[in-house]
Amino acid sequence: MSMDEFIESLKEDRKVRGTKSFLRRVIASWYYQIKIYVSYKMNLALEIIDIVLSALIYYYIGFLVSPEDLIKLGYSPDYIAFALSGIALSRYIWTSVARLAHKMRHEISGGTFESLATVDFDNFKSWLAGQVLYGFTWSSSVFIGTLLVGYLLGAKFSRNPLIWLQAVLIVILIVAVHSAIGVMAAGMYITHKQLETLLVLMTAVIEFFGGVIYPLALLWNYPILYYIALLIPFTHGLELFRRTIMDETWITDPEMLFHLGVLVAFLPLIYLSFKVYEHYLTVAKKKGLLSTY
Amino acid sequence: MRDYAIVSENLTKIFGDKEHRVVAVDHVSLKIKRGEFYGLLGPNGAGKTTFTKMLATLLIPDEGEAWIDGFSILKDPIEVRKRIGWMMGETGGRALYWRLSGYDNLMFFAMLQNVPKEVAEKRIRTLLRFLELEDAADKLVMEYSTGMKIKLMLIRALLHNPEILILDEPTLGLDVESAIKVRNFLRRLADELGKTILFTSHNMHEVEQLCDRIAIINKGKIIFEGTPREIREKVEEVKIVEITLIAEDSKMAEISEKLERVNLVKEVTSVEKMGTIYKIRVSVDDHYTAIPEIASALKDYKIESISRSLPTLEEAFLKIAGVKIEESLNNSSRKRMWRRINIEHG
Amino acid sequence: MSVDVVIELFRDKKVSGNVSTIRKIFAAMIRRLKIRLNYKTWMIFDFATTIFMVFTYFLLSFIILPEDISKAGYGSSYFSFALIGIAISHYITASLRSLSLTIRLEQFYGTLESVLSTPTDFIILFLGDLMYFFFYSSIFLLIILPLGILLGAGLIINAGTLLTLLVLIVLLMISNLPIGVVSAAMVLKFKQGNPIGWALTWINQFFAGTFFPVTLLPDFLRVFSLALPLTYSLDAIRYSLIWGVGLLNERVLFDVAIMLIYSIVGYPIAVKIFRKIYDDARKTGKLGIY
Repeated sequence: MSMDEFIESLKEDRKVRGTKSFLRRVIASWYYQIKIYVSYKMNLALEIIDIVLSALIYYYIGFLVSPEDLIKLGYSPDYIAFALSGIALSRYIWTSVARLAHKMRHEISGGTFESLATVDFDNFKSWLAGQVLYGFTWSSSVFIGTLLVGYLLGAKFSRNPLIWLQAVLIVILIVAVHSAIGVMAAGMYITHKQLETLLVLMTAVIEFFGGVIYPLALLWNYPILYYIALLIPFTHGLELFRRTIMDETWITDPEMLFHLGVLVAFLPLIYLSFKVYEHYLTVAKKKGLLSTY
Repeated sequence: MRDYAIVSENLTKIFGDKEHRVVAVDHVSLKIKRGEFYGLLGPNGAGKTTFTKMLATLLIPDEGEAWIDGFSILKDPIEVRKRIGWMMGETGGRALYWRLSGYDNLMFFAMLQNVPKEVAEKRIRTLLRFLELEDAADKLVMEYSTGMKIKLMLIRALLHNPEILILDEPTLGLDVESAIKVRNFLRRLADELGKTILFTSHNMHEVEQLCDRIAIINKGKIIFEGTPREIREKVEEVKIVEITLIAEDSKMAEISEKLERVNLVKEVTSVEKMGTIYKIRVSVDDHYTAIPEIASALKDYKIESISRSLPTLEEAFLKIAGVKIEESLNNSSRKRMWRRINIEHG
Repeated sequence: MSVDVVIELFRDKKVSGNVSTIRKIFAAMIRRLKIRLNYKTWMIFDFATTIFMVFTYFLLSFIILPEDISKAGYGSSYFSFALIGIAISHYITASLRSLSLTIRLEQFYGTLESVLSTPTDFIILFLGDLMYFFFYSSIFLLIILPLGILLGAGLIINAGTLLTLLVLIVLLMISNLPIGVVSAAMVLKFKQGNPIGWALTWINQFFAGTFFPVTLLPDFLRVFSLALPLTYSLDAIRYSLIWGVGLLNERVLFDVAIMLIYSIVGYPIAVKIFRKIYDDARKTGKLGIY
């Protein structure tokens, strides 16, 4: 293309506006992230190995577990289903809570965050949404992979499609609540760079107190730990999820409603999270902190 | 061989597979005397870095051999490494542990270079002070500017007092004052301590100023070797007229157009701006007949002077390499060079 | 400062010297440690997640039946069994990944070529990093074992078992290093070191019985367990700490013999593979590329 042709093409430039523009930017953010991930073919293969090996570890640990103890603690005696449902769901925690800040650190250290900021039309809402969508996509792939491997290893998950619909809705709710935490944290990260590691630590805390591979009821002997666990939304989310896919318990069950209520109480965080993010972004722009890491 | 610090014979490096083959260094043969300050000049991708990496034993050549102080780069790589100080400025200071302090970086590399601790400490402190990094010595390298990192890398190359320095773009990223200081220092290392310095650069003015001899490399081949004067003399056919005039920025396009319409003018080779004064250099067929024609074409403008000029090394390079300046240098490095030349010449 | 002072400093050619290999290894170790200490929050995270892991398996042990642990010869406490796996997991990572991590670190910082342009062999750097990993892993060991004992793990800790433990840990690292060396060669070749290292670590930990006794595996999988030096390392350490026996115990001695065989046979092969790929990387100019 000659210089003249290029100049002419700029004169014809049309911009996409409004909601369509927002959606396009969200999809663009999501799409380029997928492309980057898929380009690391070895990572993809090794992700699969990780899923299979994790499942197999708990499959064999399952042979050591006392089925009677599981029943006494209120669960079905199927430990592989118990453990893998926890592991599968916990895949969403890191991506929801810590990944955004981690991603921002990469963009900042790579020098691309300021470039993003200069083309940003909506205070990063579309970029954030795209990144959350990517995180959800990746986690969901691993989530489904884990459950599938569990199923192949004999985990007795429900086969009722309606139950699985309930499970999907619960997962979306869990991801939404934890993503809100992640968005807020990403905002705070812009001005407090050390926060990223604390977020990763938070992930470990959430997973521990959530009872990913051990029944939560074991914490009854340690009341302080038990009450801390109850304050964490993931604990309730995991209980909802397990009861749904292992015991086929409907959401109308009183115990289920209790856990659901706690999760729903965290929903206003979603609105708050974008406000917090915008606030810290503005502070960072004023203090010139966008490119520091 | 004994008189020479660096000898290469048909050194060749080829990258890529059969379908995408790149001959980065193409049968390069050089001999650099002891105590010589030798410049290797060439555009991006010419093969300078690949050549220096082979000499530093970081890359195994595909053909040919080289000797550093009589030791083969293929057979005696450890002896070679004992004798050289190598630095690559092109990394922008990335080749440092940025989570360590400047001082810790230097001490560590001093150890690797077998410099005893007490000696290393003295050299490090002296060089840090000389290059004005003393106050930053205990700060993490990640807090350094690019220029500070380049200086630190230069210090690192000097710690073990090597007889031979292989410096790949060592002043890239330095501010003008520091660059001048470093150049003076390197020149004195060669003059007073007899160090052999192989110095690669984009900056022709710098190479012209510093080097005893220069080789011009393009597309992996040495296309010319000689002293700076020999190179300039080689291109006597390049006749340059320099016009100094006062004009507004908006008039420059018009002025360039008028100049190019003058029959005897081949092309405008450079335009420099100093305030409202422009210095335009044009290549012409013949000085004597071109000057009046140019004066006539620009009669409506405030001409300060029109004079015959010797070609710069840059213009000489264009002649020798056959590469236009827009192809040989990217715009940013070109602007950097012009700005630097402008400032250095006031 | 005038340039004259600097010129005078370099005029004295008589000042030369040598730095001993031990000092260089130590300097490499200190450099790694200093870099690590500048990531304080990551260190806290490292410790915190390990402690959480201890508590997780402590809680899990309440629902584990003792029979299969006993059948495998490790007493009746799953927590003791798992605790040892957690306590030495950092040593496992160190031996399987230290060389690839060293290379990746140098590539990441862009310092690999600068290091290789010195007369010091790269192996010195690697040994320094290995010492750092050993030191760092030992800190975890010193936290995890006492914590586990406080939580009720039935381990026998005395001068004899501690000495045995030290010897077995060194043997664990040495016998697993050949795999680490090959893994590092893959880093140089494929430039995607971390996933390969991670996969090797996971596979080793799975088949070697870090979380469950290998006796649970079906025969066709247990063959892989028997082929791994880590299986014998874990077995020896567990047997020693749970029963309070030393190196002269028959079972432990057998494991030690296997580890030594792996070391003797593994090294030449691993080094040969590494050298070939390293020279190829020097030929293709991809050594320093991250």
